Amino acid sequence: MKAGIIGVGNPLRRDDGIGIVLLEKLIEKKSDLPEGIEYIDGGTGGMNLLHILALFDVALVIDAVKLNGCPGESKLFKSEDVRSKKSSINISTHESDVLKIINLSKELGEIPDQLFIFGVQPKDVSQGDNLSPELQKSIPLLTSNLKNEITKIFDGKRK
Amino acid sequence: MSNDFSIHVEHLTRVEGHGNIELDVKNGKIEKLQWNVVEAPRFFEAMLRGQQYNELRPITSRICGICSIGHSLASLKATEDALGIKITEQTALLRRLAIHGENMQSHILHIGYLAAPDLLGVGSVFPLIGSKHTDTVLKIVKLHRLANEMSDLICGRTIHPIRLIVGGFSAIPTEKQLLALRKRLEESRTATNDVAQVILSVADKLPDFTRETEYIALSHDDEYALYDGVINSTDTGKFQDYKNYQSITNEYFVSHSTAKYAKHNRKSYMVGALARFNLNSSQLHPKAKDIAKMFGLKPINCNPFMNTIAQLVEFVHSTEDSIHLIDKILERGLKEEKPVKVKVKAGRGVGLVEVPRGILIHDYTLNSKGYCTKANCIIPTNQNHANIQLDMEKMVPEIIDRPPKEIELTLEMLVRAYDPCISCSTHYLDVKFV
Repeated sequence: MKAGIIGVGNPLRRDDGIGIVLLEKLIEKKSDLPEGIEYIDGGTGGMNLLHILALFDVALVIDAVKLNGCPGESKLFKSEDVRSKKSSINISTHESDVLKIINLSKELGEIPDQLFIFGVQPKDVSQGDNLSPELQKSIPLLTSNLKNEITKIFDGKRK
Repeated sequence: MSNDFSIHVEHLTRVEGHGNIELDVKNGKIEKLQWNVVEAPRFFEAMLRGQQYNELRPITSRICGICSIGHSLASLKATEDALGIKITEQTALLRRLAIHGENMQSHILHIGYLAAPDLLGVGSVFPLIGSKHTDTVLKIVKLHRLANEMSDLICGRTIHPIRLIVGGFSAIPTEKQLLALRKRLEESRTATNDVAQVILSVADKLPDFTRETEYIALSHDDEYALYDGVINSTDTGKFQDYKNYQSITNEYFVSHSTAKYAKHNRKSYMVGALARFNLNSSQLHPKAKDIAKMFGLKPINCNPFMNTIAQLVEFVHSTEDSIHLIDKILERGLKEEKPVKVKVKAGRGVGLVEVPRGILIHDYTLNSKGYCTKANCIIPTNQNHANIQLDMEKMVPEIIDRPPKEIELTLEMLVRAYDPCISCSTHYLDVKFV
């Protein structure tokens, strides 16, 4: 079974980079997590995310998601639980809708058997390389929540 | 239809970066027609000043996420030219393989994801899923994946290579890995042909438009030039004095654009796959020539929309030449080589390569300690902006009686045909959504 954790986001757009920040925290604490997981910086996603998803049987994508919650709030869900609200159907080489890429992966029959998304509510996605104070403060809690979820997912206890 | 209408396409989609199209027509007369590049400048040349010779390659790679291999190679060639370094034959062969990987990556991305939706009458690749074209999309995705993995294997990463260094490679693939790549390239032929057939079935959607212009590309006596060659023009022939490239590119500013424009023998010229095809098609692999024939593409073709077809032709050439290069590398015997030793000295070097969108030039001046004191990068898309503008000026009067929506789509398709890399040409980064 190939397992992967993919951080997605743009650290130059403040809280949008939370997926990458959390991925780095997980890499630091790799020894506490199940073995055999590949950790991937998926950057700003785009079509390359499609190729990354194809590598895994079980995968967890970490990304900033508009949850209509408080900044730093998180939620674990599966792609089929949500629908993209973005109206654009276009892609460019720099950006595309992560959910649409997941859907494309599904239609092409390449999607991991188990695919989870760990979404974090951002506060500020303007240009800049620092997280908002709210998200900065949430990192320890988010990392610990993630670790719990990862253990459940990759031990097969969460379906 | 009305004699008055305006078309304003803000941030044209399915191109790299941000550009606008503006057209105002009053009483059936064109009052304004402009291709606007609106990205902010990126100041890469200034960033290079004060950096040591071995830092120039990793920095300039970041100019572009699509042509990072091309920027790396132009940068290495300029640095090595300044320092008087001669690379080994194996390095030259592996670098040629790297540039094929990037050419394939970039071309299939443009043909499949960015250009094909126009021909198939949809807004993007996504609506094609679940249609009769699902299988074609899957083939395009797999060809793109192969090209990505090829770049990864040769350069150490899919984008922003790490193995390409001054004087050679920091690591090379194994014989086993090259053989596996060779097998996958061979197996990809069927998918490529199938994609070509689908494009052929909708090729009549490519507008029938021509405008004579000057085509400029590198040419090489022994091969279809990508990694190496001399500047060649359909108007004025070969130009050997490569360090004096400015007399060809003649960059200039226009008030409505943050990117520079270029001109040579005429008011504009074109670079890229179609320019290379027009100058060097006789050196293409026979299988690539077959694809050109299938689409009726012959030199000199002056229809910019055929650039996408020239890219398809080059995709086949790069696949076949990569197989040939792997054979050549393995026949010679793959050797672990240390990079050529660098003796730091002052000097100026110029590196020219053909990247997916055309000629790319890096020009560095180093001081006696090997630090960069002056840098200039000439990006292919810059060289195409004036040609796009003049194409629009000829095309719009020819189609002005059509519905504005159709004119808009045709103008968008024209810009997309050039596969512009706008961020590179101005120098910024704008990304992602939440």
